[in-house]
Amino acid sequence: MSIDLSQFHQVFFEESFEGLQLMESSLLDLDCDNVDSETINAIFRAAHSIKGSSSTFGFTAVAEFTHVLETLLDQVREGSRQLTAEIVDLLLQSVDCLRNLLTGLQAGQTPDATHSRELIAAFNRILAVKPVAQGAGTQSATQAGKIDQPAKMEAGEAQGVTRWQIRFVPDSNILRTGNEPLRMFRELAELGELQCVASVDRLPDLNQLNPEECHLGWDISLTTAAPRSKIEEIFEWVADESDISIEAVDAIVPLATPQPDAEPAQRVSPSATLPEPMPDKVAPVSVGKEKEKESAKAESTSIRVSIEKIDSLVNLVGELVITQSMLGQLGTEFDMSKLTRLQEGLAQLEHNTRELQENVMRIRMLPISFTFSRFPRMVRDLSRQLGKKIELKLSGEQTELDKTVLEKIGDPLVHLVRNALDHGLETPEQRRAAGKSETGTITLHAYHQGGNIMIEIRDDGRGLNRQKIRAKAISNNLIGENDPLSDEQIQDLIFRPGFSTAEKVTDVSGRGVGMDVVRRNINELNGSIEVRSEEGIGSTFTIRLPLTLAILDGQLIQVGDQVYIVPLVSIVESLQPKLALVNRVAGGCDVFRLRNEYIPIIHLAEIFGIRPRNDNLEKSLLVVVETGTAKVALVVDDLLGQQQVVIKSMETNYRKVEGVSGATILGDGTVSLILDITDLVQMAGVHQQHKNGLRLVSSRAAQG
Amino acid sequence: MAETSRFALEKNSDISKVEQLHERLESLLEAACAVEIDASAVERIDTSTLQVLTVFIRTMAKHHLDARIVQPSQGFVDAARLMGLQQSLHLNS
Repeated sequence: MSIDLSQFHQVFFEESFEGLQLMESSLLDLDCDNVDSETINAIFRAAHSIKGSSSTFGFTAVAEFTHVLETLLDQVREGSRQLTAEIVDLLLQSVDCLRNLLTGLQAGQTPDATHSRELIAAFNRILAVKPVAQGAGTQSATQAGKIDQPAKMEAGEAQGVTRWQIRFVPDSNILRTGNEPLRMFRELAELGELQCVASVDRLPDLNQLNPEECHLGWDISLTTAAPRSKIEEIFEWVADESDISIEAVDAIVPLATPQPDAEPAQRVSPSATLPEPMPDKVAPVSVGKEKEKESAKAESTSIRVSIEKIDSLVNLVGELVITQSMLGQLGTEFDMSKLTRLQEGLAQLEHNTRELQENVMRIRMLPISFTFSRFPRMVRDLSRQLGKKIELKLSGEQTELDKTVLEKIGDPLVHLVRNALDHGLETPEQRRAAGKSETGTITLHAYHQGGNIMIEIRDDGRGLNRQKIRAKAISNNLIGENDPLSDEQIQDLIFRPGFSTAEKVTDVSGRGVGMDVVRRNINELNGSIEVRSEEGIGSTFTIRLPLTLAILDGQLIQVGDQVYIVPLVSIVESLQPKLALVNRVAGGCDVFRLRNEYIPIIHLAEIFGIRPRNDNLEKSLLVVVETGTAKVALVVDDLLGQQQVVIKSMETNYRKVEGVSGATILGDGTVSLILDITDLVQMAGVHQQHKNGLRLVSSRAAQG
Repeated sequence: MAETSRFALEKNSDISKVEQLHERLESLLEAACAVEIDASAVERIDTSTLQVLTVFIRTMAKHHLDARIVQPSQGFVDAARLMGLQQSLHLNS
């Protein structure tokens, strides 16, 4: 029976991408003048792990590439090679290259190795320059006749080398678990001179052999400057299941002395060995790439959950079962004397259910650092490309939000940060001329506010040029020449389709398609975006997002015989209106004066074509809701209760309905529609058309 | 002189194909004739394949039958040496 390794591909890709992420962030943290050994070790480990796993799965392009990468990293971590900015750049490019290779493989494509070959050549050019052991002084023993000796051996010259005798008898299942002895021996050969003798005593006859089991054992002699820990590291994955002994035989053997028992034929150069002998497709032919694609698809929708979260769920389910069994027992022998116990049981059930629900929701929550982590690299690269000095500040990275929201907010955030880098921040010369420090700052800040997560993208650049925006809007016929617009309204124009004030289209940002897409994407997540900007001081884009798309806290409202749900986060206040405070403005829209503000009134009954219980506005209630920067008042017959509702998609189950973002099933089994406030405002036609009129009425009223 | 069967190992000879190879070798053993295994095309090979070849050669020897690896590629030879199997596979001869 063949082993279907493709079943592990998903985990491999997940872990590899995580490893690359770690490599990237660690590389960005590296200081070439003062290399932190922990950081360089972390980078090495990530590369080593990707190499090993990709090799196991037969992804040779990745394995070969990481091998070269690892060689260089190893020299750096051993201190035999000085880390330079050039090496860091190359390593960062390698991360990108590996990411592309892995993405291609994940999609079931044959990866294009052009870039990796170029990078390997660049690494080899660096590796061709003999590393200088730090602190090794004048000790540079010649390596005549030792061309196969890896460069890392040189680092150990000062300490001499040791001959190790290793006995390795693996478990018979070792091959099935993807641990390939040949790979381990090749890694051992990289450490120094290797001689291997296979013990064939346990081999059965051909008809008794299970060819996927390993019946071989080995006596290995390794002469190396590497410490025992390095040898142990190679066997670490198989140590538990194998019989391994590692003993130092001859210590401090001068490296230049040829080993008498090392026959030339038995010296094996790691570079001369074959690439890792695992196939591209280990799975049976019938599974093939189809399955690979399937698993790639599955990967994009998978989530890694901590054991703690799972344990907590298991615990809660246990409690739920206890409550259910208690209630079940009560039901079989119920009489009125047990009413109190029944009520207690039901309260307990409610408590358990809510806790369970909260915990299940927590599973989908991930820290926003998953999205933020891409920015240090992006800012570093773009600042070089644009010739700007930029400092990136991140805060609130541990703020958690729903995985779906997290995935979908990535692109809009990238666009905003690119915009800030390209258009917002000035060049060092411009900043100096403006009396600012040469280094511009971009701050990404995430935090919770109410039931929302807020993400701020703040820069201390030139700010939005309102005159320019206005002129552009007029030339694009977005507004009339004499339209009175507030500063906020002018700034809001940047979110209109096709709007861009960039003088030239760059590949960093600015094709005039962007900010409208950013707003649309955020709106699709039930979120909003607004901008505050001051010329010469900087701009702040604030994104407001719901924590989750699956459940919302809702206010149940009654309109006629229908019950609707208003997202609680949208509600500012609810009140009973006085007719004296209601005015009709040009265009036929009613507005309500709330303190010093005039708020358009939306009659839900009219919009949905239902008959309200109260025709008299004074007997109705107004629910003031906020969408973005606009407030509107919804006329409702009654406020019922508040409850968490599970959102069911209208599009999936029926079709898109205007003014409605979804539906839910209430406790009595009836279906209730969840109102989409932004949509409602647009339906009611009060958003833009009457804004100016309102402002005029408002100012007149204020004067009166 | 007895008849000699000859067959070639695949370019990628690894655990995914080892069962197939094992069956093939079993049938060759049953045929009870000398066998030449052409390893010239081998680019990738692993422990499982080297092991089954070793077992085959040993079992054939027990039956006084000759089995040889012929024209092994450099990759094959290097892998066998690295695993210390060059003698068992008669690669030194």
